[in-house]
Amino acid sequence: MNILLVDDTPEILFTQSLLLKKMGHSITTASNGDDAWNKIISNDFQMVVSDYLMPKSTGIELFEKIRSHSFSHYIYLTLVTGCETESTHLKAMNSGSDDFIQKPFTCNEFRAHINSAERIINLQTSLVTENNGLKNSFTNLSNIQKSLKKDLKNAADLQRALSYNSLEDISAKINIYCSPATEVGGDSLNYIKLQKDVFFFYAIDVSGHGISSAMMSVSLGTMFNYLLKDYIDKNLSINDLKKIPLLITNHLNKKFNDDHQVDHYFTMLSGVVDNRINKIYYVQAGHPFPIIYHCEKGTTEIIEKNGFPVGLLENATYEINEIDFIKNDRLLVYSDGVFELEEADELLDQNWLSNMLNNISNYCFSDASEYINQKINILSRKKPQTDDISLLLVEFN
Amino acid sequence: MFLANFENKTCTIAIQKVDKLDAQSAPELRSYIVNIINNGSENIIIDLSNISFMDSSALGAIVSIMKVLGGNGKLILVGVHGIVLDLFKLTRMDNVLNLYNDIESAKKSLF
Repeated sequence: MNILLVDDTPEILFTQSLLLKKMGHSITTASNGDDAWNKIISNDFQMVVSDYLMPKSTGIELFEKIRSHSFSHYIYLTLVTGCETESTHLKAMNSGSDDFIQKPFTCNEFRAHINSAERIINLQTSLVTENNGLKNSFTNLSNIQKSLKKDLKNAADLQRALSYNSLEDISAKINIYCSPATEVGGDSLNYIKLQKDVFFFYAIDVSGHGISSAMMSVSLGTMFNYLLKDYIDKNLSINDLKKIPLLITNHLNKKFNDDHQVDHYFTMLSGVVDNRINKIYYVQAGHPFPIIYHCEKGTTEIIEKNGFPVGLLENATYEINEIDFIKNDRLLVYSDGVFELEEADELLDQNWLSNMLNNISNYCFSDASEYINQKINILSRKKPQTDDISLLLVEFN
Repeated sequence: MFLANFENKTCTIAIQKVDKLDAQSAPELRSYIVNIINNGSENIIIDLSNISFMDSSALGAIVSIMKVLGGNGKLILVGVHGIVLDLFKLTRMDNVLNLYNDIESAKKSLF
């Protein structure tokens, strides 16, 4: 250790120096407080051993000065004192002294105090090193987290921009609500005009959530555009149009079962809406039951058709279902993330959604959409959202 | 979290201390059971009577266990109820998976 010895008696300094040098320490001496202070600020001592009573200033005053100064490392302070009073001890402790050596003392006692100081200093040094390591790791992690967060935000903006085309001129009013559990999500909704008075729509919920689900959901969006391009503006017969959801679902199920690298599967509800004959032809692939509001009867209906999810079972088969509608009927399609929301300590279920759809039936479409968006938004902020939530509301023309 | 009980080539797994299987617990259940299958168990009975919620990741994990067993053994689920049963019906998994009310009748179906 690099030690400073402070004492006004040269003989004491000499004997203490000799002893400590023999122990392998590097020793500097000072004969008074001012001399000591000048040496402390221009050297790098780990330990200062000072006599209590010295001319001009005491060891305690020196220690107070050291403690009030900011050093890059901790300096271990030991006071050598001949006074046995309790008040001297208290004063010494309050001044920042770590240890006392009571005069007179033997060489063995002195050695023992120095060894004990060395153990504490070593411990302190290793703690400081570890602490600095942790601080560096923390700074690195914080930087990584900041950059990941920024990346995720960009990805979320991109996903929103890519997710649906609100400019499609279709023969229905549409409202889409999408709220991922993290920045990006695995839910995806879209609608595409196939020909005059006919459009295709889909709602997808990729299993899990987060980045990998979002990547799959975005790539599915691209696949839909690709798969649908053969059906756009082709003036297809009703018989051909009604098969589109089935062909696409079968195609995707085969593709995602063949690809063993992909761990995800998805639930999907996809359909073709034909305004000329007031029919929806759809395939239900494990997505929650859609709800329809019949404006003429003034009632809602939960359409309880089930089906295999896509990409889960190779030999899954699907069928075309039909829904009849009239002008101003409404259809609500949603992902199961809604069921993790609570209102008045009760989990939401399809009946809750059905009642809501009924309750807002006299609202115009934009007010009904606004109501749903705000209601779900408020409920999803009540507790951390654990699953992606998406809703699609359609009003038929 | 999981407690396995072995009887010949059949392993019955009870799930304890959790009441939902989700993206966190489902992969653990999957790897726990795949390990049991790799160690020679041919039939797997999972007791889901404590489970009141299951998400899509958990359903994926269960189907994946079924695929690991392949044609060599049987996967049986016991005590499926409430919204977990609704999920199985919605996704038609009740047609694909073997569901029994209790462990006794599940075991009887094997022997």
